[in-house]
Amino acid sequence: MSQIDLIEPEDELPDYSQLSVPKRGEKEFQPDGTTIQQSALQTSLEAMYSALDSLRMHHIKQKLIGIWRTEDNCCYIPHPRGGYFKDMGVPSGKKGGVVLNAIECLYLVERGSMAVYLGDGNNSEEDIESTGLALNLSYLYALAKVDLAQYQIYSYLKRLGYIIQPYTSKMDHIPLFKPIKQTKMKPNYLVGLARNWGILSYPSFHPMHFKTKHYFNYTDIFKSLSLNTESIPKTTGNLKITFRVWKPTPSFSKKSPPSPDFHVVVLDTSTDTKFPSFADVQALHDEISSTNIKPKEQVKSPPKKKSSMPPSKKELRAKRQAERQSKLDQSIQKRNAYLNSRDQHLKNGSVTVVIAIVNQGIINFVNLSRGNFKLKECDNLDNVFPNKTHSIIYNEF
Amino acid sequence: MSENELAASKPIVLPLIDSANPEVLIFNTTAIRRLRDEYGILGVLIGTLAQYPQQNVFLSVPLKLMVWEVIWLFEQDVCVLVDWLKYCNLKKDAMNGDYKNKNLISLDKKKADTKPDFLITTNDYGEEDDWELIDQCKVTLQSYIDKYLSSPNCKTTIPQLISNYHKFKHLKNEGYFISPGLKFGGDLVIYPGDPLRYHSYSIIKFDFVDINEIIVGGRLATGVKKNMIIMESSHAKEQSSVGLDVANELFSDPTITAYSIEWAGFG
Repeated sequence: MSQIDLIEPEDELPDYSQLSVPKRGEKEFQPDGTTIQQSALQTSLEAMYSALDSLRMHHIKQKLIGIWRTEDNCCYIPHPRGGYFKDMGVPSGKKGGVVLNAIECLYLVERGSMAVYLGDGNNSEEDIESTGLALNLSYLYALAKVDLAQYQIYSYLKRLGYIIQPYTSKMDHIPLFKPIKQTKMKPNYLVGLARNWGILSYPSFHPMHFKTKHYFNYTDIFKSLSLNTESIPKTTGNLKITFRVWKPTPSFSKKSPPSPDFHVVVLDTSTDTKFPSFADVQALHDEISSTNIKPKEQVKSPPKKKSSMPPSKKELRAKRQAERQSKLDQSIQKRNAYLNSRDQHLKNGSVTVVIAIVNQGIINFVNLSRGNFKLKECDNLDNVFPNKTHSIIYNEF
Repeated sequence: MSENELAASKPIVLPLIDSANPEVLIFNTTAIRRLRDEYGILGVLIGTLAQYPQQNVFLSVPLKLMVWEVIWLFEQDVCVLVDWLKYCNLKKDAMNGDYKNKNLISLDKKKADTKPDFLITTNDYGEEDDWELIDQCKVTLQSYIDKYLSSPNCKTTIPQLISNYHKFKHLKNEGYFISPGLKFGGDLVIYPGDPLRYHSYSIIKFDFVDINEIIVGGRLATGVKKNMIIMESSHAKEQSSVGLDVANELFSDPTITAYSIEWAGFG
């Protein structure tokens, strides 16, 4: 096997074709000892190694410099620049500096966007480049002592473009329990008299109820049959929400962030693969639903550019469907829209928590939602039919 | 002895980073090559690849090693575990405040006197491992295991760790390439050769109690053209962990029995 054609010129950055590890279909089931197989493997390996050897850097024009503060386990940036600080860091000092936590700092350095220097506490911000030690990545990892599972999830989502902030509990500011209205009827003499005459019925759980009450449609019967389930008492769990995550939005502001799109809990299962207990999940849902009181405003995505591609089958079907809908009566259209969004509510539940499972460095995401079969607190359903009970058995319009 | 041979005879430096869990992370690309080429140790790359920072398919240093991989390298006696923070601090102190940062470079190598135009962050100290300092920062296997087991997130017991390591070692010594197995819901995944080129054979499960899990696992494995393997070690699990010489126990060689399970649909 010749070695010459495997060596790459050093000053050329590898392009994607060199980077690409063979895809699924191109892999083979077992080594057969042939030179072809061996050299194909060698090429893949060399491509990988050269990618690992490439430089982590940014141009001097975008120079971004941080100072590591060992005592606070954070990184101070005197002159923040670039688009990274939309969601990262907290303002610090009067001169517009920013403090990043260890995870954020590590992420920026690792992608080559920032260089961090180790100060000894006495260096001035201006000459840190000459008086501080430029940290290499391994030193920074050793100093930062991040929880690796959390860092992996953070950088994974960041690389995909999500906006992420550490989760801070707001439980202290919000009253935990809403006062429950209790209207208990005390049966008195007059009520008893009315029942005897057949004017007033017994309440729905009384054995005499169906003997004394007259029904004129099914919905009312179903309603009276439904159990008045009390909400499950609040529990305390061992899991903590780690991150708040938003889909990429250009208008994001870290001073007054909107309600997060996702709440992510990082769970390291390297030594214990047990699923979170019911109490844990319950507590997470309670925490999220208590902080997410305001309904999330649906951000309208900007109109898509018309692509030159011919419309796909899916698009054609949706278009035909929309045309058919528009020919229907107004009230029917309204009902169909209502049923559609009701199905969405049933399908997705109400409160969602994302469990990010990390096992020995491999990542997996699990979505846990609380079922909402009674369809309570569904504002967009209330908007269409205000005083209606939305449960699935009440199908009268 | 040529320079390459000299380097190859040195043990591989494994930096131990003391975070929430004690983590062994490799930053040196030569060490990553040696681990893969000489010992078939894969690890998991977890860092952002700086040239393509917006994707998750190709990642870069650091390379995270599993606890079993670290123990196996110890048993082969080819590595030295280093308290990395201590080592870095000693290196810094040795410079006496005269840092001479070399992180400003010029990519245009043709002109010798061009102004530097790029700011870089290196992986680590490059090739210049300082063996005098490393000797001062060595961590023994025993104290690594102690740290690993006593970290608040760790829910493994010593007998469990020993038994799982024996199973790992059995597979490793059979010549398989081994990766963590979460992708297929197992404990490990094994490959007949380097996973860059070859598909994996089998999903490994260490402990099984539930027959339903065996059926689910076997059926899933068959569905993705693999088989599922469950393993049992002859090593007595019920030993008291008091006064146990962990290193000795880890390096012992109990008989390992492995069962391969495929989903058999009759008819």
